[in-house]
Amino acid sequence: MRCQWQTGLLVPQPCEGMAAGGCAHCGRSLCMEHTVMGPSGPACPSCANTQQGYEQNEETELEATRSSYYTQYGGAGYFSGRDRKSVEKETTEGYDEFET
Amino acid sequence: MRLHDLSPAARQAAEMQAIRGEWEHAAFDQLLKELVTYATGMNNQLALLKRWMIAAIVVAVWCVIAGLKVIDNGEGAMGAAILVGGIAHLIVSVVFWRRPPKKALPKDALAMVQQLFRQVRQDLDAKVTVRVNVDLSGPTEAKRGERQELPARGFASRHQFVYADPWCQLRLQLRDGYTLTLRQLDQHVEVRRLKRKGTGYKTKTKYKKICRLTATIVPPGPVEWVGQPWVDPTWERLRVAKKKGLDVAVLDRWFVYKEKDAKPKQNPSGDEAVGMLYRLCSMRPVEAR
Repeated sequence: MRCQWQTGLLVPQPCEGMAAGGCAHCGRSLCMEHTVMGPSGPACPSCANTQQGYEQNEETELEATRSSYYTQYGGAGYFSGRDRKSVEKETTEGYDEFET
Repeated sequence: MRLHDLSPAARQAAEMQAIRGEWEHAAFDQLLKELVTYATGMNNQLALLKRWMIAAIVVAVWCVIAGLKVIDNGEGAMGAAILVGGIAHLIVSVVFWRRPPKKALPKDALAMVQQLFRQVRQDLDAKVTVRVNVDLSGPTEAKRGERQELPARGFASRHQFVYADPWCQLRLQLRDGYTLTLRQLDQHVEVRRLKRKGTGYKTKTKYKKICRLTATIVPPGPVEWVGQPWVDPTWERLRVAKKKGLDVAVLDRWFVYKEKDAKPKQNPSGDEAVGMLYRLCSMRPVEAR
């Protein structure tokens, strides 16, 4: 059986690793890389974030940030109208956003 | 972490204050990790040095005052020794204080690139390298534009200088063939006001940093964009531009930071950049998502 964890943020795709066990909370099959150990048994990074006592690793941190992007993206009103005017005024001569 | 503790690639980047070329994902990740650690250490060191210098000047002034008081109390030799020591300490402290500070790498800027890369690394085509052109030297004299006169508005004169610093260019190839680019142009605006004060003049300088973050998504072939991402109408602009016969979606976002005494060092966070890329990716046709 294959690991049922999805990797990636912009191009999500299933992990291709061989499952070594399952999440004690949601039941999905997991490979060793995506298994987080804790007091209530093995968990996927998503359940490890919501349950108490699980250690944080790179996968759980990525999952936490990913979840925040999947909710509707909201911006903050950072600047005043005066700032906006100064933005409009500034020259951007010689700047080509395609030239990378 | 000191300069000689860095790997050869990181040391070269720190010395040149630039990251250029094509990088394997693992090597780029390691390079960013080392440079962020180095920049954080360097910034902490400079902050500590500044605090130490202030303390040294305070102690030196205190010694001069104490020396004068001791002389007044009739202990001439002891007072003179404290006074001379205090003056010597003050001179040394001021000389150190006025020395041009060591240049530290911009911690916030490096952290943005690192955070962005960590977030999207799993989405990248493992066989394609990351193209990078990052200039970490900041707003140097070479980037300063010409002096621009401004309306005086009650002052003796007002003028400004604009430092244009297009410091960041990244090109990332996604697993599904789409290409993402991210560029940042910083404009440091330095406004100087000259005010008449009694018999002379007084200059006051204010600083503002305007960052323009531009994210683009380039399709692998002709495509019809379908999604309509959320865009902040005040600070963002979304457009579709033609580039080499392809429709390229471009999202711009502006950030403004202000300081009174020095050029602002803040930078948009990696989350902002990832959010922009994420919204651009939501415009892809459904089969590509």
